[in-house]
Amino acid sequence: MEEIIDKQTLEKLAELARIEISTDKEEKLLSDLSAVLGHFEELNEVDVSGVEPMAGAAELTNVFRDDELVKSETAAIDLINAFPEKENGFLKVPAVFE
Amino acid sequence: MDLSNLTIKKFHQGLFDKQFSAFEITKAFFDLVKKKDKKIGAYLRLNEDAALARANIVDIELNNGNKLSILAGAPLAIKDNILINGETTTAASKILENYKASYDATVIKKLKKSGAIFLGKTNMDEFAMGSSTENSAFQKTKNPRDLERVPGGSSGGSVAAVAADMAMAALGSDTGGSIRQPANFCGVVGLKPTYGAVSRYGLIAMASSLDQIGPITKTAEDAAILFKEISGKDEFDSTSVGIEYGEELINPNFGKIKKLKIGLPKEYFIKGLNKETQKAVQETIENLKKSGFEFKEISLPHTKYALSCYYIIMPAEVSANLARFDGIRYSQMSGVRGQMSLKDIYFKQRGLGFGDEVKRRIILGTFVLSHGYYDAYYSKAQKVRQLIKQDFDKAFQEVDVILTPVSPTPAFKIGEKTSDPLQMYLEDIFTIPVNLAGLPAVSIPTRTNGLPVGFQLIGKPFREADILGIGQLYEKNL
Repeated sequence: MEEIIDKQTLEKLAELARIEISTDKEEKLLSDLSAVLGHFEELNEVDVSGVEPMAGAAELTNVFRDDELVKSETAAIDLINAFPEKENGFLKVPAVFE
Repeated sequence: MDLSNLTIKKFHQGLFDKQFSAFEITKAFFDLVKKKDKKIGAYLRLNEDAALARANIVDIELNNGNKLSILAGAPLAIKDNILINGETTTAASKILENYKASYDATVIKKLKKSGAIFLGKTNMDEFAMGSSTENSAFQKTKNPRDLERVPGGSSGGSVAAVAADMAMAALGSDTGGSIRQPANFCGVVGLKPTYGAVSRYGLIAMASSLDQIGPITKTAEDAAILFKEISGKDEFDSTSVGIEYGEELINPNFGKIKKLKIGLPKEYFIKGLNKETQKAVQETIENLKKSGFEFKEISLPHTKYALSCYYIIMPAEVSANLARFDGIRYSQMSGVRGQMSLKDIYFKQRGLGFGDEVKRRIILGTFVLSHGYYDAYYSKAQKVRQLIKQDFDKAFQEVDVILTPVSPTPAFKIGEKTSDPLQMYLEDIFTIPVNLAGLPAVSIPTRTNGLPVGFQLIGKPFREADILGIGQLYEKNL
């Protein structure tokens, strides 16, 4: 069977997903992914011509609510406290531009 | 105090008859948890002070003659991916180890209003990814019926808590079987509501087009009671639907229930089915036939493709939903910051913070959505999903309810399937199609001497009353 994901593709995917994968885990991950992707081959048997893709389980369209100002039940201080790094009521983040 | 037979219904009656106070019962649950949970590992965290304080308030209101909800004082366990304001909520992941929720999930808000008590947060597979609760970053939960076996997953902690009498009932979440499969393994009732019946606001999202919160209880009647309380339209979840569930949900008209026609899909009664499972399901069918139910063999021809379809759509949604966990918001792994660049922080935090299964699914999801593969995998899977749903639509023109096994085998041994993800995924072949189609389904335990075995009832959209009604009738007849 042709390898669908090789080492290089895996590294590219990890780069896109922003996940560091340790070298000792790469091989197992590759073989697990290949097994799962191999299983997907069965979908080739299914004739889907003319079938509309199903994007979600809710059969709803255009769900709107009024665009009005409401008082939040969450206090600003709780939101700040839920953030790992903060200083004087400000959220602290690493520099985006280097 | 014997907590083993205490249902929500009996508790409510006992509370009014002054057989006990809410405080006494809550205390009794904590005493039992402290005695038993060292061996089982259902809870990640307990919240005794807050729970006892809330129980006290219920007792005071009762003594003042205030009208109380049926859930007032009922001690519940909550899966650790559901937010309770001010409480640590980790989804059993290291990347959220220090996260404290800053608001209540809608289901929690509703239950607080009803006066329900939260005993603590329960263990689960990390971000609800798994079928055995072995993927938790913190601890393994054991099956209370056999400590060498898994409780199932991902809601294994909530289910084990109810099965071991360490909670009167619990909330779990079900994306591909995460309520029904553990309920099946531990011998309790687990309901996956129709997609949209219960608000997902405040549930840490795994796969948004599939996730639903649902009740885990000792009886079908309790499942109906808890489900009725948490369901409803919520402006914070645009996929939620406002359905008025009437009296029939909790007090079914059994004469009407017996007229429901039950379908048996031939694709679910496969050769590989475990003998005990097959026997238990067959006995259930005979039992229901004696009660007067009519059965019909039906076909759901695309069943076989549901697993592949699910393992494309779910990881795709996972890869998007879990992008928010960047180690900068919510919670941070210690020791990873220093003078690193922003990008390096992302890589390190996510690399250390996520477990193997989570990484596997994010990578898989990134792959099926990537340029050049999107049509072959994701788009194809969405079309197959449509076909799976159409199978059910057609079947429901002939029958009202569908009966199937819940999982191919009873609870397996701890460690038995951890090394082979595909084997673990196959655990969910009978539960996954329901999530893809957005239908309600319940796992009801049969009475076996050995390991617990349940059966699954699948209903038409928003017809939880049908499947829980049959469940109640089945329980009454035993």
